[in-house]
Amino acid sequence: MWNLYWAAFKRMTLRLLDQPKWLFLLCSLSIMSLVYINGTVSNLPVAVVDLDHSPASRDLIRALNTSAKVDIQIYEDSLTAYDDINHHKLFAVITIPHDYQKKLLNRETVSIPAYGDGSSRLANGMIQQDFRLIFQQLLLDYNQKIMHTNGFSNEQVNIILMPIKAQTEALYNGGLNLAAITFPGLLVMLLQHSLLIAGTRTNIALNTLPQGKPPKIIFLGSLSALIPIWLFLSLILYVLWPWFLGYRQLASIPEVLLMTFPFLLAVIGLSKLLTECLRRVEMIYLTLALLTTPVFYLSGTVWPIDAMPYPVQLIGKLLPSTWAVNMVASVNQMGLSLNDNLFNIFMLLVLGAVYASIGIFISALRDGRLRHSRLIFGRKHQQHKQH
Amino acid sequence: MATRTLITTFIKQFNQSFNDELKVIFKRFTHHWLLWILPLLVFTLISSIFSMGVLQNLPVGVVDQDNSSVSRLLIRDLDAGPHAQLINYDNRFVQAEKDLAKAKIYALLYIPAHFEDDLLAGKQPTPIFYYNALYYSAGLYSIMDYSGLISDLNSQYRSIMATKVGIAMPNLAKVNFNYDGLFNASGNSMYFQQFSAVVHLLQLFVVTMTIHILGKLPRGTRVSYSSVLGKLAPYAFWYSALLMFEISLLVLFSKAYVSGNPLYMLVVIVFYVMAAQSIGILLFSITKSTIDAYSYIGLLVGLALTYSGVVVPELSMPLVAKVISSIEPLTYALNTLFGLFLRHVGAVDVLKTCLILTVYPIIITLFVRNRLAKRLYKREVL
Repeated sequence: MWNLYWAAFKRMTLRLLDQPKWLFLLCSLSIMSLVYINGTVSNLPVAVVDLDHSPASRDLIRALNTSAKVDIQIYEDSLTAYDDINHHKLFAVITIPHDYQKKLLNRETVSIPAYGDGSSRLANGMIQQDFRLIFQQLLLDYNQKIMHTNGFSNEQVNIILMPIKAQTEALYNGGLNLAAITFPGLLVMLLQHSLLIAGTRTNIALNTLPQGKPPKIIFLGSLSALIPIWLFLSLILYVLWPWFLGYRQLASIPEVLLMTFPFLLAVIGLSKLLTECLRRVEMIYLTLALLTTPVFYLSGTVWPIDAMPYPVQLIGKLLPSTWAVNMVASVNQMGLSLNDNLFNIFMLLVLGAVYASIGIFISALRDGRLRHSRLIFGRKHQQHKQH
Repeated sequence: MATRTLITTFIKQFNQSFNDELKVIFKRFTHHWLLWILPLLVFTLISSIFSMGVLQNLPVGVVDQDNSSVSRLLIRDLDAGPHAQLINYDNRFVQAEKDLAKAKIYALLYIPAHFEDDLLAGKQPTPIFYYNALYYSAGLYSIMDYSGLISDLNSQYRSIMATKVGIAMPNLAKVNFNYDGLFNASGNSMYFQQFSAVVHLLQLFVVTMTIHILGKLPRGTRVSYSSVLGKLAPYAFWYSALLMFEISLLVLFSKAYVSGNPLYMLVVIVFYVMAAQSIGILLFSITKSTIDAYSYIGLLVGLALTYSGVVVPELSMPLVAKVISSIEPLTYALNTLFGLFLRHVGAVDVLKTCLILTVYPIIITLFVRNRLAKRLYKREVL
């Protein structure tokens, strides 16, 4: 028994090392990562249409230019600016009205309209946040000067202008690294997708051997040979990649292995079920490759799970990736321990066991083993009755 | 004369192949699966994921160590706002922090002890609103109402503070900074994301179907390029119609605004589908087996998802990423299709996009013409 297991394990491992198609995942990931090299949004061209041409408007432009996320470009008229944003040459347009300084000096309310490209939601939100902070600071400085000239001391100015010193603090991703936002979901999806294909292909290959189906221990040996390779991939993805792209990585290597292991088991269990549903190698590619995008969106990193309808939440919860994303993000990037993720681990193991059991059941039903055993059981029951 | 014969033969073979394929287009389950079952399933799933459209009532924790009338007012007003739904953690800050890291809540408001007393004593208390910047969308939306509330509270207490100091409060400068998003065709903030996903997924279906059709062609015979094109043409029309249908459904359900001409959209879609088919032909020609060709589709998924400009805008990409983005047909198709909705894209822009999309079939045809014939002649490597 052990010899059969070991032989299958060894054969599969050597085959995976001989034809390292799984390395394709890293090539694909490398190309995808190029887009995140800058870390966060940077140098987005933003037009400022200065209709005022006053010292105050120039102060404002200088302040806006302090944001590393944008590259301020001065435009003389709004039409050209809006034409350029229309043709993807600009990301946002800010218009300083012609009476900006006058209204500022007269203490009248002045509005500054700004429009960003809403089709890029993340970037738009980021520069909106940056601009709002710059405006707040600029206004605060200006009002401080007004109060000083009216005889208030420094301390009094601070207290009166800001009785409450409210703060907002971004946790777990201080520099708002875009890779840190996208990658927890993306990496888990890639691992799941590649292992599902490898697991299903292995199952189908063993099911369709010319000499007939091998014993179960061979299946076990071959499938378990996938685990070390995918554990190795998980180390690269969860330890090396964050370092490479410059975002937070907190889990130790044993922790990464411990949290990936149940995830891999769950995916191998799911691959058993998919084998019984798809049956042909071609169908794997005609189905799984096309489902990766919705699986990525279902993981909850781009759009929160609570904001999805209940049936969709249920589909999401049936996928190992949903639980794994939550666990990997909380341990590897938010500093929780594995003890805080026992429920995620439990759910992964349950999903793996349930999927594998359903797969084995369908397989037995197909092979006629169940019918055969029912037949034998029925005959015995009849004989027992006759006696 | 020779050119004329060549054209006549081409048209004849194309027509023959086109008509033959029309007869069998819905004869196999795999075709049903790739032509409408899976595309519509995926479309429904993606539309359902983002059906809420805007993030409201997001779970937000609160640890109020003051329990004063001012802190309660702040909590009540925040809860009454559209974005946050507050969950009281009493004094269990550690538990709240853990829940924040588990994404059970997306932000956490911490109000320090003696908040009201410090406020009235002019000690400038600091309530902190922590938000999860890893789950950025949810985190950002859950703190959306906070700055407005604090600025209202500050204006209320400003005059009280000034009275205490005993100097008349001067008029302060008032500048409103109104930032708004352009090119949002509907109330759904994820509209563009859905739009791009639908367009991007169709490319994958077209590439997969093309490889599948080529993989099923009989081996050992010389197949002309014109008959291959004739065989693929019905699928080009089908997928163009399917994408138009899906976009129409999306527009209808999202109640999106359309300013452009839908006919232009159809033209761009036809060219986009043809460009995708040529990528399918390329993948099939450069690989030894159909399965190998399929496995490259995974790369396309990742590339299209990353380089479509949804996460990182094209204007902010590093040079190398801009080059890759410019190779992807999706970039051009997506920009023009979405532009037809809102950006007042005219006939010249549509023509330009169609010409760019035509470059793919032309270059790929030149590259694979002989290679494809050899590949179709050879036996499939398993």
